[in-house]
Amino acid sequence: MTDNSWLKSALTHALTKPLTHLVNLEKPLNFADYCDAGGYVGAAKALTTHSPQEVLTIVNDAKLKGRGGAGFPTAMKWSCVPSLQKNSVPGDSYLICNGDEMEPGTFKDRHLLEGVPHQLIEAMIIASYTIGANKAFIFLRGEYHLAAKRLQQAIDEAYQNNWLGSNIQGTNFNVDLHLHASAGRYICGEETALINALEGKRATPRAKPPFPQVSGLFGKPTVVNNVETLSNLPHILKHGSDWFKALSPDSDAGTKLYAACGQVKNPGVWELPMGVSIRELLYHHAGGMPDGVTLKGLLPGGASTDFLTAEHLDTPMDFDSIAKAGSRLGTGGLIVLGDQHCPVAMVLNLLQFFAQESCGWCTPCRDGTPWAVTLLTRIEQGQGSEDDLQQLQQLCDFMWLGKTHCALAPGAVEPLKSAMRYFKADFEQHLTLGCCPYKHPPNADESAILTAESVPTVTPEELAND
Amino acid sequence: MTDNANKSDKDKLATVTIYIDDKPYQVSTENNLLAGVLSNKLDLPYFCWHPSMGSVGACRQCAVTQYHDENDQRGRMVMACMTPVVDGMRIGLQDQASATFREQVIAAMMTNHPHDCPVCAEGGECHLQDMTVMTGHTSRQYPGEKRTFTNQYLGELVGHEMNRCITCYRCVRFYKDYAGGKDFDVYGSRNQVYFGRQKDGILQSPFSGNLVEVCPTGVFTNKPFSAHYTRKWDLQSSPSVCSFCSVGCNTSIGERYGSIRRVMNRYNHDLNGYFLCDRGRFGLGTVNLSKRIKAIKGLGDSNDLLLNTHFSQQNFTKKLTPVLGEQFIGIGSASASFESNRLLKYVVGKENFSLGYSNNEMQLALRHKQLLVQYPQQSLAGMENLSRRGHGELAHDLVLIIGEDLEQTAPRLALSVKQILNNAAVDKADSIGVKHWQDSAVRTYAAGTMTPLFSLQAKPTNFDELALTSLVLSPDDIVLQLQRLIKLLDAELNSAKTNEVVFSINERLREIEGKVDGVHDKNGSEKDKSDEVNIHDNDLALIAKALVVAKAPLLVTGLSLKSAPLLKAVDNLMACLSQQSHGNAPELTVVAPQCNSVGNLHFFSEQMLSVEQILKRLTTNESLAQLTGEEHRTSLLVLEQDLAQYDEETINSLTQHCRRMIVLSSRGSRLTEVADIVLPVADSSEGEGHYVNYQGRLQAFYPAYLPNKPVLPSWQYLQLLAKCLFKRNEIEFTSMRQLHQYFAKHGEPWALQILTCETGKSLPQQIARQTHRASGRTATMANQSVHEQQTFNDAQANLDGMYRYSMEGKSYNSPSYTSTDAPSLAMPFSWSPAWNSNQSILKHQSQVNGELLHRQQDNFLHLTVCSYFDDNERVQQIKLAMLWPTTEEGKQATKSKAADDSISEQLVNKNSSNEPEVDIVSKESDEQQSDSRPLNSLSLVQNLPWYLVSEQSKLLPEFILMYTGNTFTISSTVAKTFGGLARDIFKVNIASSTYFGSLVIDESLPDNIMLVSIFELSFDVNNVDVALENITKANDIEETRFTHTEKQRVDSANQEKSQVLAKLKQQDQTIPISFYEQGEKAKGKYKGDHCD
Repeated sequence: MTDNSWLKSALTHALTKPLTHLVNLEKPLNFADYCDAGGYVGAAKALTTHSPQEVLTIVNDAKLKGRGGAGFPTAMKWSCVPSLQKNSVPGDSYLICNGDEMEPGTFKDRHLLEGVPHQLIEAMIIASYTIGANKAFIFLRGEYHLAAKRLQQAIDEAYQNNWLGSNIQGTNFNVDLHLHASAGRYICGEETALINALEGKRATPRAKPPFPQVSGLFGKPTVVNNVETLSNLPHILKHGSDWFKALSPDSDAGTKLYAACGQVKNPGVWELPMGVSIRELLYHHAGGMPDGVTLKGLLPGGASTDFLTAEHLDTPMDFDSIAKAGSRLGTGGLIVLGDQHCPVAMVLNLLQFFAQESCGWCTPCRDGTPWAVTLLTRIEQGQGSEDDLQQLQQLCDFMWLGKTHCALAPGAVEPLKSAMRYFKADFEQHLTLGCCPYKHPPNADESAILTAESVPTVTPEELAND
Repeated sequence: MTDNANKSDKDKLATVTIYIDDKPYQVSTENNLLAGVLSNKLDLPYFCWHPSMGSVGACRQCAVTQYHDENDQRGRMVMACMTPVVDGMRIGLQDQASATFREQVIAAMMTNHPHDCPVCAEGGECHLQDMTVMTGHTSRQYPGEKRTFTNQYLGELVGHEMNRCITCYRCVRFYKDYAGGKDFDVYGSRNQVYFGRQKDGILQSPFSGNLVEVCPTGVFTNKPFSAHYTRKWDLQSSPSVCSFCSVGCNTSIGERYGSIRRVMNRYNHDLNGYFLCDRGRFGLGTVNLSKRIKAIKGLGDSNDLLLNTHFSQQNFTKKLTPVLGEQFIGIGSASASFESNRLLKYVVGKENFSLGYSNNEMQLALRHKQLLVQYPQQSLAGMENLSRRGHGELAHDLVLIIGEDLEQTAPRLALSVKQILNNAAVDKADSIGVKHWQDSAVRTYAAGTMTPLFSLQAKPTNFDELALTSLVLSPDDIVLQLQRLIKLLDAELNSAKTNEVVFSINERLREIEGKVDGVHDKNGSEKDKSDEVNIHDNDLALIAKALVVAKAPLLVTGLSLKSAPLLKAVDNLMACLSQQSHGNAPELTVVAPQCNSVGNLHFFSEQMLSVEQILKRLTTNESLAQLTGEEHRTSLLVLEQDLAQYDEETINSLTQHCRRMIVLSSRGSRLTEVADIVLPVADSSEGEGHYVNYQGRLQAFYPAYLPNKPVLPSWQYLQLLAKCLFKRNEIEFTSMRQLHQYFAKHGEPWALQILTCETGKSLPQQIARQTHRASGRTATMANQSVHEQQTFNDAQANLDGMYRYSMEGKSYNSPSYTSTDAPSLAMPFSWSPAWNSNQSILKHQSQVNGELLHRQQDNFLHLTVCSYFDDNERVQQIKLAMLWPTTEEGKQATKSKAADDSISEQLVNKNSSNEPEVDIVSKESDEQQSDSRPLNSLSLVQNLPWYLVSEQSKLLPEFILMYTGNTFTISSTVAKTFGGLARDIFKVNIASSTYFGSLVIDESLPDNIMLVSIFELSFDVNNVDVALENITKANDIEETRFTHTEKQRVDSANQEKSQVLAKLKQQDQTIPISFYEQGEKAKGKYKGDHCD
């Protein structure tokens, strides 16, 4: 099926863009072509030449960190599974791939799911083998209809070719892979809420400890990994951990899918070595800001990260550097805010999302996020007061880490808190003017307002302004 | 290291020192930090945590700051309820960060909580109010709108006001997780979380009323209480004991203006803990009903003021003169207090005393007593292992329920058994370091792991789906299968002994799990029924195997099937289990029929009369009278007994053959209608005395208020009768205490025990039944008199009493009660400064979930089997059969074949000479048919809903409105032989009465059982045979009549409900003045106060 020339050129990137070199969004590789392109070699290697413990060591050496946002070392997460600790009977644990990509401004996993589904399946075989899981699940965002279709096709093919099911490739290893399309809640991205949802319960995060590696799906040891994290595995197995580390010698190991959206000329997703600078990502790959627009701030890794500003442009986009700059790498998806849009409105829009998506379990999140929405609405509409700002500050404190049941509310606080720091003037202007300066500039005439609103890119903040 | 040290030293409670705000405290490591803080009587607000339901970490209210060491100034915030206690840990309660956060949590909850405290039924005893004040949240910052919800109709018992919800999830955790309810859940998300049913409808759980107490605010309210509402602080309360089943849950009864308003749970560490069942919580409403007897009948007309409104003893005695000198047989009751029964027996003499039991029930009672003497009965807490966990003792690892629908006859006990089923989960979680209080984590990790449960029942029960094996068999078949089980068990034990097999817990579980699959297969093939015995054998083999490996199995049975052979079989099973040498410690719990059944076992002797014997005596004496022309006829003195289990015929012959019938009763029944004299006695909420629960525990109950005369506690009437009818002038008690002293003086150990346990005399002051905040004392009667109301005081009785009908008296919170040597008295109501809700109980416990600080000494009735029966089994059975021969005798004799042949012979001989009415021969021929015989009779098994099981609760309109109508349930095969379709109306003759009901077909029911749910039929009629010819389809006219009756029952319940309410509201306006007018003496006092 494949256009040979496309595959040929794709394969030239095999060692530099391992995750995406086989991505074909028009028509993803089928089983045969994926194998031809070097697929299932990693899995075969893992299953035939390595013990689970050895695979764990390789992944540990590769220093692979979770790509879901927290950046937790993958091998360390796996090693908490009891079967890996005590050499006990394998098969009594579960692997779950977290494909519930609902973070606003993030669409990297979709790229892999739609573009190269077999890569994920191969990766999940390797991971299942390592942690001793005989059942694996892909928990997919409900709205990813195309991905669901393509994944199911790939799963069927894998079964037909004995890469799933029992006695895989004659190795005595069994694994069944199930695709579960989510009913669609942001909180399902939280691994324990995801597990609850998969069990058919309310999608409420669980208290930790115990962690899922000890007591996860149906009380069994369970590992939940992000799509992108898993997708690295076939390549690490194939090319070795040293190669993986060498992909980004100055930073965290491997490549990373970076994305950009919002006020950029060329929104998209790119696989780049870990640690590329924000500047390079924004101006080189995303084409920079639209003409006449200057950078006001950006969220470096999806909606639940702190704003960074122009002064941080040279920060490398890796876990530690971004943390040092006061934010989080998160999913690596930039959301860029220009100077012609209201930061208050943008934050309001985000908070509305988080309030809407709160699971309703713990008080700070359940009642704190709607409270913040109320205050931000008042401020945005010009009815706010100094007290409201102060109250917002207190709410940020109220919903901060350690006080809530899971990370949703602290995630909601991050853009709010940082916006109030970096865009303090904008907030105050709303109070003093009694209206939103972006909708009604101080010396507004009709045309000015029109210009402000006729920016072609559809951004979340515009929706909020309606 | 400390951890290990503590683990090795399991015998004593592991406590460590922790530092709270730099002060050292001793805290147990058995529970979480929050429990530790509260156990030290420090104030830390909380919502989602519940002392018996554990932690989930939802509300974030109990945040404290945890410091790394003494130099750490900043610390980090942790939720106390989710934090284990570690030796030397340092936390801050007073620090700014956590204090601010706790206030913010309340502020956040208040964003949606309405400001409706003044009209909220929870106001004044609201945990949310208390916590709001505690955190110092005083002014509202939130400028937005509040969310609103639509409320649901949840039945007649529980009200719903969702807008008040603060989303603590306690309700759903109680209803679903703790009590196993299925029709209540949580819906929605974000700040629109909704707790309720899928759609409007009556809550199905028998524990729904606990939502009222579990909810920290006013979402769930006590509907009958709200309808006739008063604030908590205006209630006059007394410590009482529930009289609706044999568990004896402790309650606190609230009264105002002469009417009972509500029943609340009264914490008892050993029994009910924090929860009551709905029968106990709402059933007491019957005391206010119109069927209540409030006037004397048969001693002059109702206008006789000196007998009724201005009741005087002299007048009463005078009117009784015609009755003087008669012979009396006294019939006591298992629902009357221990003292009243004792007094009745004393007054009439032991050879003239009966408990209103039939011959069969007498035999049953003896078996029951024997079981109790042999096997000590555990408290509910003991069963749930609350006190034993972590102290080296075993938790129950297997439950076998035999022939008793616990949820029906002892609901609170059923709730405890449900918790026992969680033991396996708790143990499993403990193996990975998840503590028992981490509720959600335990449930997650357990993933459905349950303590193995097996049940042999005569009807499907709610435990069936939790059981590994649940057999539904006719009562006779249960006995047969138990005998087979004992045989299998014996075989199993012998093989285990020779093989020296040691099972680990895991092995056991694996084996049992493996077996379960097998059982499912068998269930599938059960349909053909061709080889029934074999099918059960496999199930029984599984049970036997499980019993062998179980270290601490719990057997639960009861008397509701009225089967003495069943109890005997259970006895044999226990004997078989106990004799084995592998360290297995079986325990048995027997559910007694009524609140004082076990108390009455104390009186059990060979002289005790059954109702059959009473009838015989009456007729003999009557014929004697006719012969001699002298008056030899015997009269009956009936104490709080309605003999509801007897058919019309028996009641009629009793009334015809006795000379006179005096009935002491608080409510109308068949007997009060036919009685010559009816004396109105106090209900359990108005009386005083002791009930003896299923364990033999003597528990005192005290009146919430004194009813207006002529309503008197039954013991008082009895002592009046003793004096004037029986000329027993030595009996002169003016108080219950004097009664105890009298019997103590006569060497009765129980009375001595009671006096030792009571410390009333040593009290500096009596305890107040009213709160110190009881308001409006001078204002409430202003429409009648502006003078200060005299304290409601029945002078004499009160001198000796321990509680005052007043706000004046010792409060429970005074320092003398918080010291360790405080007198032990039950608390009338729970309150503590700053803790106005029921959560104040924390302040009165030694530690969270612990004993009450001023707990009463345990007082157990000592039971011995009377020497007459102290023989070997066979001789005993002969004696029993001679005294109280029953139809069961015949059955048993033929069933156990050769071994008992001689007995049955003797039986037949005895019977043919003495008891012609018992037709054993025909019985035998019935039973000799094999299992495959064509059916000609069905075993009737009661299937009444839990709320109608007691004769008294049947009167409550709210319960009647929950009733779905009379039904007969039979298997589809039997239905086919009748040509009956579901919902057809059928007519069934049971014990010479005709009952109607609609037909229900249950595929899973054995062919020889008919489940009946008939409102008019007493629950005491159980396990009787109904011949097939007595079951017929109703004709059109009967059908119409039936439908009409059913409708009328609902209509009159509705009517009664509103009438009672109207009457009580009317009474509120007038009752205070009637307090003054109680008899001449009170009136005199009133005048003496210079009123005009």
